[in-house]
Amino acid sequence: MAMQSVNPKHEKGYLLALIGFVSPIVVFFTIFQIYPLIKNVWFSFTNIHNNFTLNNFYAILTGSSFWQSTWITVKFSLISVSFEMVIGFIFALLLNQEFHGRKAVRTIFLIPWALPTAIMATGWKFMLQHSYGPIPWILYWLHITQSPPYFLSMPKMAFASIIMADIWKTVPFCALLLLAGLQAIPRDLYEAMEVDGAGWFFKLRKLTFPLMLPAITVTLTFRFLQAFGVFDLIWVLTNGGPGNATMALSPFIYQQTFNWLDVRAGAATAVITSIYIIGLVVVIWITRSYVGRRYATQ
Amino acid sequence: MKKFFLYVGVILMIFFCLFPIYFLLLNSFEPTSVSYSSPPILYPVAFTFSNYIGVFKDISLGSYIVNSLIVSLSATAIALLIGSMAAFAIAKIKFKGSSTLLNLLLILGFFPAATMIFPLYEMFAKFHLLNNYLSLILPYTTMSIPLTVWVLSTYFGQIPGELYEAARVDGMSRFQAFYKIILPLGIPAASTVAILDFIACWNEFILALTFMTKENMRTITVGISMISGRFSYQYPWGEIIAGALIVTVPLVVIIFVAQEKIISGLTAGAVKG
Amino acid sequence: MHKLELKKVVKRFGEKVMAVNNANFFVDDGEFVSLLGPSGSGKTTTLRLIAGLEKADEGEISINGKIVNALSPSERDIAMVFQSYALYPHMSVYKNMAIPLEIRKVSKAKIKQRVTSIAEMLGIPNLLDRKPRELSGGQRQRVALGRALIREPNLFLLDEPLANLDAILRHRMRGELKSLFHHVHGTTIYVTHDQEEAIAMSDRVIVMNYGLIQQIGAPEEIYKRPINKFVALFVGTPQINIFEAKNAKSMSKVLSSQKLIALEKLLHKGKVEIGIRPENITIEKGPISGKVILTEPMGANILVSVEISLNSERIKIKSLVPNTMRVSEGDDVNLSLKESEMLFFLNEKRVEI
Repeated sequence: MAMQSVNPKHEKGYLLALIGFVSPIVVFFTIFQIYPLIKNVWFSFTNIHNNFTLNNFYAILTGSSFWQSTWITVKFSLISVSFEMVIGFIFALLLNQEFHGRKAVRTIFLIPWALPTAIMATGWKFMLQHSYGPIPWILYWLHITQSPPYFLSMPKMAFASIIMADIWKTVPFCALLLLAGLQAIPRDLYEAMEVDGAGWFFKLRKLTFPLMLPAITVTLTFRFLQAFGVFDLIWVLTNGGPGNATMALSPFIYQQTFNWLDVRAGAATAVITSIYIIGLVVVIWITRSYVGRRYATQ
Repeated sequence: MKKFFLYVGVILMIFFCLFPIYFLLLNSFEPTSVSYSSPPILYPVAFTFSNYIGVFKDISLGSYIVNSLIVSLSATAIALLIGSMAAFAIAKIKFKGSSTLLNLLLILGFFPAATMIFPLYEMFAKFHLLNNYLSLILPYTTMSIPLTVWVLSTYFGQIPGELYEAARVDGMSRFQAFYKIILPLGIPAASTVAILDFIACWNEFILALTFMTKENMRTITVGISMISGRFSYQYPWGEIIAGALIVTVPLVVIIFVAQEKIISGLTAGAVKG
Repeated sequence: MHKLELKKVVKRFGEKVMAVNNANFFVDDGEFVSLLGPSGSGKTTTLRLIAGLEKADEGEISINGKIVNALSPSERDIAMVFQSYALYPHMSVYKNMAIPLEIRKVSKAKIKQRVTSIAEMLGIPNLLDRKPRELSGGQRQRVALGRALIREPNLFLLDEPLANLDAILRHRMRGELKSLFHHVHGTTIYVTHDQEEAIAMSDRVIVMNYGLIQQIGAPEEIYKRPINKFVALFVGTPQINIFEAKNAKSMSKVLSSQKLIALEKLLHKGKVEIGIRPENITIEKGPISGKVILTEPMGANILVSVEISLNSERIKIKSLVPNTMRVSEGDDVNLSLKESEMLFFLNEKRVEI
């Protein structure tokens, strides 16, 4: 007589149970995430008569708007994420110290994170108004600028505005993620280094920073991919303007599709944006597995 | 001396987080004449509730809030239900490709909504679902699934396997073991995820902007940011700000009640790497 | 001048908890001193106070005659081995050991020479390229020792360095550690909750409980002349027998007439208890009859539990006998207690009578 297998895969109802548990999310994902992505690819390679064409891509790749949007997106992501990581790291180091009301400060940190981006962008739009908004005037009163600057109607200042608002919204989030990483470092490692005679900078350089690299890469990954898809902030605060000075890829796709009703151009932009995202994911994947190998602690 | 610099740093951090809130609070309680003065006045000079009353009278803020609540709560509930099932399968039934599925969920979650918005729009238009709650509930559910499955599968994974095995040995079916044993134990993690999912749905903008074109179907994020368009002569800043603050209140309440849960949920992935 | 001296050192945690209560002791150059006590006795806190990882609320701590209360750990020139070993997970064994020298800006060549020689001494020269996660518990422990031995500090502080090792390794490392620190002529303070370890390794033992130092003395002294009931019970395995002497009459079989008179006097002052270690009780012949209720073979010896009745009270007493003796449960035996080795406690404090 053959031996009975104990492999659970041969257990009665294994497959059925598996399908029952997993299929709902697969269905949702197929319809509302994978189908739209594929449909966009189809749109981008066809004309209005449903015939194959490369014209959609040709048109956007030879025009300047798409490249400008790409550049703006890259610039926005790089600048805002760099600022957020540096400030977030400093805040996390501060939050990791012991002081009265530390828990309250952590709670306050959740406020910018929890605010809807569209709402906070509305608030920033008010604060940046030239004639009655507080920020231009504070800059002027502090003699940082010669007159209250026009934030939203000058291209460079509008770009600075979205960076500023994004920093405000996301620094606390980065700080909390990095703080979790800091708190995961065992205390006795610091004590050992102190006893061995190290000063604070030595500890930061040789202990905190290398042990934080995994947490830093995770935070960086999430933030960069999130920043790359920025829409709400720009749509509400600058609407991509003035001119196209803040027209990142997401608002550009939206503008092509729903304002200019050029669905196929929008689809082509969306497809290339998706390729950017896939490229980023691959790069991040490789970096992380490298960091993982080099600095794995467990 | 070290303490001194620490407290200076802490005060700067608090200032960083709260200065916009201060200006908004200030102006929401000022009459229009004050908030429009140039240069602005950075301290309270007058006090009025008119903005708060106005925002309910002039704008259908009440219905925005109801709309947001309906779509966010429904999507959160569905995502929790089907997400916890999948998380259970990944953590306890174990099958080939479960880690691929997790990674796929994560990566798909990174695609900006703008890259898939038109096909969704076309689909909902075809099924006459535009200006219908379903047009938001369904994509919001999808959007909430990656986080839900990630956090819950990690949590279920930490529940000792013996518990599930004991339940099976005692004669429960897989589904019984799931909802009688594993699910009750997962409530702490599930409530964390529920809060994070709810906040994400409550804050969503681009889909709500696109699929809810009728004014009375708008959610609060779109509703508030679109107020400006209704008054061509002048932005009703006082009312806009008052509205923004009103919709912030529930979020701040959630934060104060559940800050530990939120932080643990947010940072679940960061520590493990 | 003492190498280390603590004068009236107090450390509180919060308002109520006295982690260290009025600690006074000194350690001389080259001494190996143990801080012994159960968990929560304040021994680790005392060590951390010496290291500067905790700040004393009151009192003075001096190293080489210089008060160090205000100095940070890095300024005290001490080396410490942590219970968890606290190895830097992202650095190789070589790097881990080199760090203290790197901090002191020692030249690369010197560091290399020193690390190699210490690794040689500890028997781990083949592990230098590994990461801590690739090491066994015993190997990690050696690396932690190596990191401490790499320089010549004022003091070596060891916080239960053997606690995380398995039993066999722990026994072997005891002897090795003792000769190692003897070899480098290091002044060592060793925290442990394991009395066998403390007795076996130390020149002197400091016994602590509830934040208070109970007794300071050489191992034999602690063992033979414990200052109170706590020390008597805490030190020595198998544990000492202690029974109450309620009146002189009940002790007539146990004590000589001289001692009985002394006991009579003591009983007026309070509660009197008699302690005697199991090895000082024989079960072959003697004045006290009893019944064996349990035998526990312990290798060379057998621990025999005997129930006896003194007056009308039944008490259980344990005797350690050589394994050559034939004894089994249910046997009737006659006990003899060596009077010269008896300890007398009046209200938990030991008294001579």
